[in-house]
Amino acid sequence: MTPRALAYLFFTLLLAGVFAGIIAYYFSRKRYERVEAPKHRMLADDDPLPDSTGSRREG
Amino acid sequence: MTNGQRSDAIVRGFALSSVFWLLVGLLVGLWLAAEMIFPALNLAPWLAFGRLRVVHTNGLTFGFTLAGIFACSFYMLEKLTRTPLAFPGLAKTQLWLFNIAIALGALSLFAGWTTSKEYAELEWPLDIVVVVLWVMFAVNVMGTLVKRREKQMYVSLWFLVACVVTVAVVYILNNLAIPVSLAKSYSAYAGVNDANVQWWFGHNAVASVFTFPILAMFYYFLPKSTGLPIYSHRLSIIAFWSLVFGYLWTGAHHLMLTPVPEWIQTVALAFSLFLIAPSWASVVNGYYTMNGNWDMMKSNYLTKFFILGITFYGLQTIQGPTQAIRALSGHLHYTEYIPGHVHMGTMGWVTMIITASMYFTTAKVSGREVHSVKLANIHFWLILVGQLLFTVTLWIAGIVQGAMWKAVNPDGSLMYTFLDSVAAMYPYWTVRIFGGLLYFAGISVFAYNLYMTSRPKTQAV
Repeated sequence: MTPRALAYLFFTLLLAGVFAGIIAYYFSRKRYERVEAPKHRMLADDDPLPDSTGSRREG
Repeated sequence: MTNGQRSDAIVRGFALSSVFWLLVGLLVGLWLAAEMIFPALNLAPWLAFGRLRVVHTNGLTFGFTLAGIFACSFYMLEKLTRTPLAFPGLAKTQLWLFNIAIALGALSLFAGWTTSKEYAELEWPLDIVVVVLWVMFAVNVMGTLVKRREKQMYVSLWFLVACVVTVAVVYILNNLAIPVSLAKSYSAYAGVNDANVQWWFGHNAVASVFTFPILAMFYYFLPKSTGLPIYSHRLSIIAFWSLVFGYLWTGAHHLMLTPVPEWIQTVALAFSLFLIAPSWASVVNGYYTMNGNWDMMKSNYLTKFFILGITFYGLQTIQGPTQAIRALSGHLHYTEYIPGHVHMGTMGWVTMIITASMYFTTAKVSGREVHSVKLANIHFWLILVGQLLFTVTLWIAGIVQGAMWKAVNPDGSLMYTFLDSVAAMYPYWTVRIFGGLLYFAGISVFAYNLYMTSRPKTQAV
């Protein structure tokens, strides 16, 4: 196998490994609550932005 | 004026700009459809099919879709980060520069200035303006993300970041060119390499403009308009990374059975089929979100836009990869089937989601409810029926056309001339115009409804 072919193989395996790592990270049981939390928080009433008058953006 | 009021005006400005360019782009599209049946409508060089076609595609991709993306992105960005836009003044400048650039782009295409690269037709001076506009957008997105008060990023923000990064990369690399005059440049690449880079850009323009930001809107506005949390946030994150991982390899499926090396075509085919999984992860996520609440399809006027939109996305992402299979590509490529496929994505998925998202955002930034739910429902049914009539007709036309091109007599000679296949398209092209007219009527209703919703409160009746 040529160094070039080896490099391609290494790069492919690296990408597949990173991808598998991302899946393992997000589907880990111990992170379930934390990973799912944003879907509930985004539904909360939108707070008035820090330097706005507060007369807008509710709901 | 507070930061909040300033960004509301920006969101409203981009939403109304988007509607304006949508109407212009559709009118040009209708004229093009009529030219297919009545070639005498090529009245002048600037009305020739070849020039109008690029005004249609650029006007709707860059004018309508990008303005809709800017409007909804600025809105989502502030809400999901719980932080005001980092540079509202820059966003306001972007709004004005954007409209000037789109108008100049349309004029230059009417004048026949074109690189001749599909979806990258704008000549180099306008490419520079596009890059400047995109940097302005990117600075606001990244600046607001850096300052965000909400630590964890909801999936819509991930899609937004992907949009910002990929558009920049593919647009700049594909448009590298050597200018020879103000109106003419030549690509930095040659031959097969040029084709390969062009379709790497072409397909990822679909990803960056018609997929990532539209999914961002879907994941944000479906929950917000129904009050239902998305079924699985982690599934949406996996769908995001899988799309990002797979999309960039698929461009060469536009070049099946061409001189592009076969292994590149095969890689593109493999990744195209791979993409069905993450695409359907979003479809399934949307359907499961509605689990037990399907009555909202009747009671909540926005729900049906989002659910039908994601359904067309699902159909689109089955149809696209299967078209990459060599046997099917050999039969369907270059036929009417392809515009049929593209228009289901743009008229079904993209426009359904953007128009529904703009109803939501415009009502919010105007501090009122949508002007008329009844009109929104009429808008929905007109664009649904118009789009189906348009796309299904073109699929059938494409299959007929491909079959005619390939039909041979027992002695091996062609059964039909090319002109026979053109004449056979007339009934389909006629039906397409009716589909387009229905669609345009629906969008006109939307434009009126959105304008009435966006009026300042003091003028409300």
